[in-house]
Amino acid sequence: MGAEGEATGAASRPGNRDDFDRLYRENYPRLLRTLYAITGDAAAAEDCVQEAFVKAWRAWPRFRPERAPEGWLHQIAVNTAISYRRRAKLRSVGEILRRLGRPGAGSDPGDAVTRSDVVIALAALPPRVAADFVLRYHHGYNNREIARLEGVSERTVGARLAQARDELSRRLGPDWRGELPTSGTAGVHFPRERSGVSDA
Amino acid sequence: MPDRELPEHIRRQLSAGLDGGAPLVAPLPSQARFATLRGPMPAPRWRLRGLTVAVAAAGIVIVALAGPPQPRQWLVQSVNGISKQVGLPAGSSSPSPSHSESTPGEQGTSNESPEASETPEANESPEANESPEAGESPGEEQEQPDTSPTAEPSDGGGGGDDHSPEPSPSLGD
Repeated sequence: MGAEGEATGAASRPGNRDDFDRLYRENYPRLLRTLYAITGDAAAAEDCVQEAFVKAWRAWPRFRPERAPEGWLHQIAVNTAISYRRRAKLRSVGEILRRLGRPGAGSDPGDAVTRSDVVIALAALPPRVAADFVLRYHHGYNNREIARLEGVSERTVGARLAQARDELSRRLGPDWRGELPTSGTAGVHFPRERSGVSDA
Repeated sequence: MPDRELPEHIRRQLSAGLDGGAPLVAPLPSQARFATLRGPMPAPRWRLRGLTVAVAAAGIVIVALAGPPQPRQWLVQSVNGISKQVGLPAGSSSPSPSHSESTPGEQGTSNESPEASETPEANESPEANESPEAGESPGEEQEQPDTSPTAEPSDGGGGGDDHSPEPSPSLGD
């Protein structure tokens, strides 16, 4: 498991306030980072995480204990971020239509200060691809854990990670393509080799 | 198949981008947004709504099954009122509900039944002959006018040609 948001193994009783507080404390950092990578906006990420916990709290009495609560929260949070991105895209299209014929306002200078190229590149990825990339390379989950968390196959996770590395290497440089961690070639870079689904 | 790993400097770059852009200031659970919704839990609201619906349904069932039979009383009273208006005693009419619920127009048509003796068509029926000798069939009456009910038995059989029999209504046609 990753360093952040590590499950303690304690049983989560549906509807129990103390258990939900514990889930909040354990999962908030991981979800905030993941949603920041999806939205590319720290304030929006925090807002989405809070909204996700509100949704989770409403559904908490109906939570099925046989399911991992971390994965349940992750799904709610990612879906909330996807909805946010969809609304933001619609808002941006509306802004473009309103500004037709007027001189361009340019980008927000605050964005250039707070958002790094890495975050901008991550936010340009499909939401679930960005989420898997952050879980894998920032939080330290392996493919099997990500697959279990999201309820998908490991092959799907591998394909998403390969897609993320391809996109990021195009935007940020060939080092983002990664390297194969084989024992004989440890530390050797294969920056120009294309990675595909078979990497999983 | 092992997955690719990012070089260490790329990992540091990724962590710096994520940690620097979104500083981790995790609020306490009591300060979280969901804490403001902590008053009533959704489950009791569901239970309250279900309980209300169940009580209402039980009340409807009790009123329908155990309450006074108001619709039936109204029906009996209205049928008795109609029968009084028509002139039939309440107990003499047919007990079948179809008769009691018939409209006055329908009752008018029932007066035109063959039991009424005023219509000419009704006189042609065998039941219209009221004489005790009316045991003969109507066909015999038409073939033998002498044996009409109006002929005196004491006249004998030969006197039938002297006087024409009175045209009874049944033979007039």
